Amino acid sequence: MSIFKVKYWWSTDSLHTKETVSGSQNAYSLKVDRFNSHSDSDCILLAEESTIKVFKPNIEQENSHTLLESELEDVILQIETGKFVSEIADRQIIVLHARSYSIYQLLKQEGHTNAGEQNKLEPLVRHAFTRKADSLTCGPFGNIKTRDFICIQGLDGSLSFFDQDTFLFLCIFNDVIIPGPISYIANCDAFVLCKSTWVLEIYSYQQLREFSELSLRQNKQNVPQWTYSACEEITQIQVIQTSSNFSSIIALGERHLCCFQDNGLMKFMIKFDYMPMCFNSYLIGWYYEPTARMLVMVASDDCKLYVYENTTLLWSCDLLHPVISIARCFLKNLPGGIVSLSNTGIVNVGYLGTEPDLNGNARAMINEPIDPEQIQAELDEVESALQKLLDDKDEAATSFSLVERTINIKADVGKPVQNLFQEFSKGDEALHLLMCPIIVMITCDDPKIIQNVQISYVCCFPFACSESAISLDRINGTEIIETQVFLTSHCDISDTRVVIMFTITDSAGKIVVLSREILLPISLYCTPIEIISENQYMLSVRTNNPIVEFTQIFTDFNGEDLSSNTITFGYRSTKNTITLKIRDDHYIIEANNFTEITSVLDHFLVKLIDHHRRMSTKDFRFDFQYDKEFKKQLLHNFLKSIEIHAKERIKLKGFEDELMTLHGQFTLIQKKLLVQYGSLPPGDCESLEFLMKDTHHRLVSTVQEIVKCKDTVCNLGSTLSTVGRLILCILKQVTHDSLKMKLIEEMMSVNSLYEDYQEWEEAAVQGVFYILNTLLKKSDKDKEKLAPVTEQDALSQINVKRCLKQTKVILEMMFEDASAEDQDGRVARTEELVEVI
Amino acid sequence: MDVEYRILNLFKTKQYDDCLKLCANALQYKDDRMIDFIRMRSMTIQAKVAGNGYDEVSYFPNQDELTATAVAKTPRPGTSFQQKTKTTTNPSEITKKRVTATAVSRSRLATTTIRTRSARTALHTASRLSRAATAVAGNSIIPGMPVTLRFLEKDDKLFIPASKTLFEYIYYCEGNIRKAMDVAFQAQKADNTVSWWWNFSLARCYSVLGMYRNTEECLRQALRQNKHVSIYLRLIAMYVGMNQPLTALDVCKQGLSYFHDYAPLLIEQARIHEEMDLSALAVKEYRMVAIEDPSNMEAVAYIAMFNFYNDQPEIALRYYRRLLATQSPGAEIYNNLGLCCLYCNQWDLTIPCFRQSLYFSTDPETRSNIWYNLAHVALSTGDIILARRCLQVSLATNSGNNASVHALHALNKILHCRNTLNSENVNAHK
Repeated sequence: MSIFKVKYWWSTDSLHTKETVSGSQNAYSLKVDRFNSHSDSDCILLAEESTIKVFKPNIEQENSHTLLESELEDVILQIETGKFVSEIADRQIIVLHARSYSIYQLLKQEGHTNAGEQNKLEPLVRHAFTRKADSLTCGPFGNIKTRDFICIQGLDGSLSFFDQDTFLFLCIFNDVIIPGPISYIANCDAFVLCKSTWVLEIYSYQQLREFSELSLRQNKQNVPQWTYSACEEITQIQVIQTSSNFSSIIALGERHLCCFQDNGLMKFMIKFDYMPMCFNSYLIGWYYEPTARMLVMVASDDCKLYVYENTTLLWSCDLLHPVISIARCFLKNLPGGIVSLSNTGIVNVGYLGTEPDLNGNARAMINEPIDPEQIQAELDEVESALQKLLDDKDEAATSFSLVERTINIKADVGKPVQNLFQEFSKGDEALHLLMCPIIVMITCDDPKIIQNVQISYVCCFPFACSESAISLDRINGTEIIETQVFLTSHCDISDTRVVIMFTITDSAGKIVVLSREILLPISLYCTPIEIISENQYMLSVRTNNPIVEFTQIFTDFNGEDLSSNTITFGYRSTKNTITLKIRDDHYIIEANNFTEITSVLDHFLVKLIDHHRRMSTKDFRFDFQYDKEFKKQLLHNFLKSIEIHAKERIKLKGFEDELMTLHGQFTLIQKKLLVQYGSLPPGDCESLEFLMKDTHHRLVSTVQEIVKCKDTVCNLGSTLSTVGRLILCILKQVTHDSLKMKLIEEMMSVNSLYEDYQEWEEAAVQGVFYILNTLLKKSDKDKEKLAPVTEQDALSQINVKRCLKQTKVILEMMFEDASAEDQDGRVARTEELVEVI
Repeated sequence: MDVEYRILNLFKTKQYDDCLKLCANALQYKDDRMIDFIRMRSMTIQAKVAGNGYDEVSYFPNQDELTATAVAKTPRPGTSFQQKTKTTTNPSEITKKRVTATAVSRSRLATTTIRTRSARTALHTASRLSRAATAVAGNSIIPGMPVTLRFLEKDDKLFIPASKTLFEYIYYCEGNIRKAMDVAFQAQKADNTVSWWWNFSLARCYSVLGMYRNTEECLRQALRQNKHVSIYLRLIAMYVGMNQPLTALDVCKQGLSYFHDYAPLLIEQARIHEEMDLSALAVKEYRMVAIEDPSNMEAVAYIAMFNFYNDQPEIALRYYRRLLATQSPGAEIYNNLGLCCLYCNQWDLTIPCFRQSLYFSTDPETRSNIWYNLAHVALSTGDIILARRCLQVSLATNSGNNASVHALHALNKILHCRNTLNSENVNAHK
């Protein structure tokens, strides 16, 4: 955030020999103070596990910066300085260990020999205690002017008070879990404590004294002088005298820094948008001067230093090292330096320099010289290439075929086999028993030109594939992929084809899509059963070639099953039957429902054509023959199935709306209930709970209804598409106008029905409307009468009725056209005959 | 050195990763309540940092459509952010205007849109740079959470001192709002002097649950107990989230009367004014923020943008250069520098700035906008062909760039007119 950096002045980096154990130092491990024996400069005291080091940095290279290093008997928790022994004039050093503390005096002996001056720590007092210590604070408690007392906070939060080596008293607090920082305010003879309740509490020394005696009698409460609910964990506290009457208490929390006067008045609060690590506040000027300014420097976790006066940011700069403790120092050649202790145990001394590092962040500009002419030439080249590609369609076509040429795809269907794995046998076992393998073989001559291939299988409900999509990253030679197709539901079979799509990405990233279509074997969904000769509907197929035996057509079954001229198939899914007969010169297909005819007829025709192609019969043709009743019933059946489908969908929609309402209701009750739970005292929740349970019950039952309803809709959808396909199949044979046929096929959009997607009506209505307006040149009045009501949706009663009427008109028209054409053709033929004669 | 001292030191010096490792080791061998709590605190703080738990203001409030307890659903006219202003900041407005505007002015208009948008992105990135991570608050769950944490009974005498730690742990680490609320209620019952913090924390819970009425109530109550800046910020954020800028401004004013010239409150006020398109007021407040906290990039970025649109690109350039010097470089800042250079007639620097901007840009939207601005540069040199090419590149990188589509459309019209005129001239000469 700043262009400035702290200027390096001195560091223990070179003196630092052994690696410090992480967590061996804390903010109390660093102390800066001035001693009489070294009155020209501040000394820096540093604790490193059980070693105490005293530094006196200077700029002269030849002088040693280290005054002394001394190994003590125990790990050092904290170093403080003060006047603990009144007889000695100089300030003393107190070192806190886990179960003891020692007071030392720093002595200097002028050297008489070449060794120069000598420094040593003279032990004065040593005292051991039983409670494990955490930190200490010292000061002239009780306004004693001659010396400092010692207060040690234990790990359990208790405060023990000592004078030199005598124990004074002990205060126990029962609301401390993690010991927080404590500090002594000399001005009003009080202590600041930070407890685990995240409240700042101020007790006077007198109060604590009484408290220690009171703690014998448990029932008396000790009320602090004042408290502040900081409500975040206080990590550091500093007390600094800012005027002759007042001290300031500065507390650093997780994200805030608060400053109070010692009477509890808040002076300011800073909110940081970074994580503060530690801070140090200091005065510019003397506290008795009215112009004294208190500044706070805060180090952040991303190694930045911020200097604030009140809430205003005065300075910010880079610290270069992560720090855990920061202080000011007045060295011989550096008044007002910054001492920092990094988390690796290195002490740095620096100062706020004003040599900005401008554009330190900015990288060198990309500004290599460019030749405009060359770029122009490149641009022209690219544009002409693009233009060429746009103009020349052939080139694109040839590049397409490159992939097709290198890739060789064979797709085939195997014989249905028993499902031995039982993976899919959740519902009806008989249905899932058979499955049919689809085998895809991809051969690639040059594997380098293909990045990856994705194969997707599309099959019509109620068929399903074991895997709907397979992705191959690299094709090396030949890949064989096998997928299983099986029946999933008891409903009509509308389409027995499986489309396999190959999405091929070539090395240049271009995508080519190829597709293959295969016909599922009839034995997957039908079995030959006993012959049923009486059927309601009859459709005959007449060909211009001699009759072919059924054994040659239905090659999936053994010859014995199909020996006679009449066979009956039973559907495995619906248990319905269909009968095929051979009469003289034509085939007859009989069934009790139209839905059975579609798929067998489809299969039969494909196989028939296939057979004749194999026999290399030229000019093979066939046509359908049916009576008027058949046509009428077919149309009626189709319209009926549309109507039922629409009705069932309306029902489903009703359930879905109900689910939405119930869901909203449920959320609302939950929220209300939560408010009741939370209120003080808790309100009466019984009725709300009853309401919630009831709503939940209704939710569950509605969802079950929806699932059931959805199944029905799916089944009806496949019935609808089955009849639709039959109509299309017949129309295709009898109509000669290919444009009309195409339009009708698109209108029927039987492909748009699959599994959950059942919005057939919406799709069909548009097509129907178009055909009605353009193909059948109806008068405006008729159009208006039949036009769907726009303000209601496609499923509304009136629109469904109109849609049915329109569909009926169109399909009847198509059939009429076909018979008319037929008659024309017959008339023409007769005329020809006459002429010939 | 004893392991408990090491853990304590690591915790106090905020080296939470090492601290957690040591805690896990130490807790294997013995039960220690202090270490347990230190571990809980460390995890909470880490989750808090990762989940932006320290930010009182979330910048993208998610409105729950199903909430029936929201305070107001439809804003009164004139009090909403969503009012359609006549400035160029709304691209959809421009598309509606296309019939009336002439081709050239339309492309100019669209250009300014992009400028606004890119400047805005710069601003937003600037304001977000200081935040650590982007996880959603309340939903961050730390793997390896201690399952066997020994929670305290509510009758335990340590329950009150531990309750805040427990609350934060459940709220941030476990993300279980209801359980956290339970702790809050129990603590309030157990403690006879209710701290403002409990009301504040309950407000946090309610706002996560989308219950704004209760949030407001709790925050107001907390505010009566203690004037803490976090409460003000949360209140403002809540009102902004509910699209009630006037009430939010009122809270700002109250807060500022208590904390004079306080940067976090000032910046919220400025943001609200900015959203309400009162740029003169906003810039005044941003200037105050910049005086209080000169390292605030959001304020500097806004002042720069204001100067840019105030036809003082030279001054804007200086602000942007300062931003460049103090923050890590990005696509937006170079883009803005490039535009400033263009308007200051520093032709030699314009293109390098844009090249740098393209170098730093990562997402297609920004790239597309930069190319759009480059088209504008080309237009101002009179090179229509180059401008057209730039627009084509812009559309190629992001086909959804409406402004580019319109500008390209306009340019094609101009070129078409020119071609027909030329051919007519040729014919006339013949």
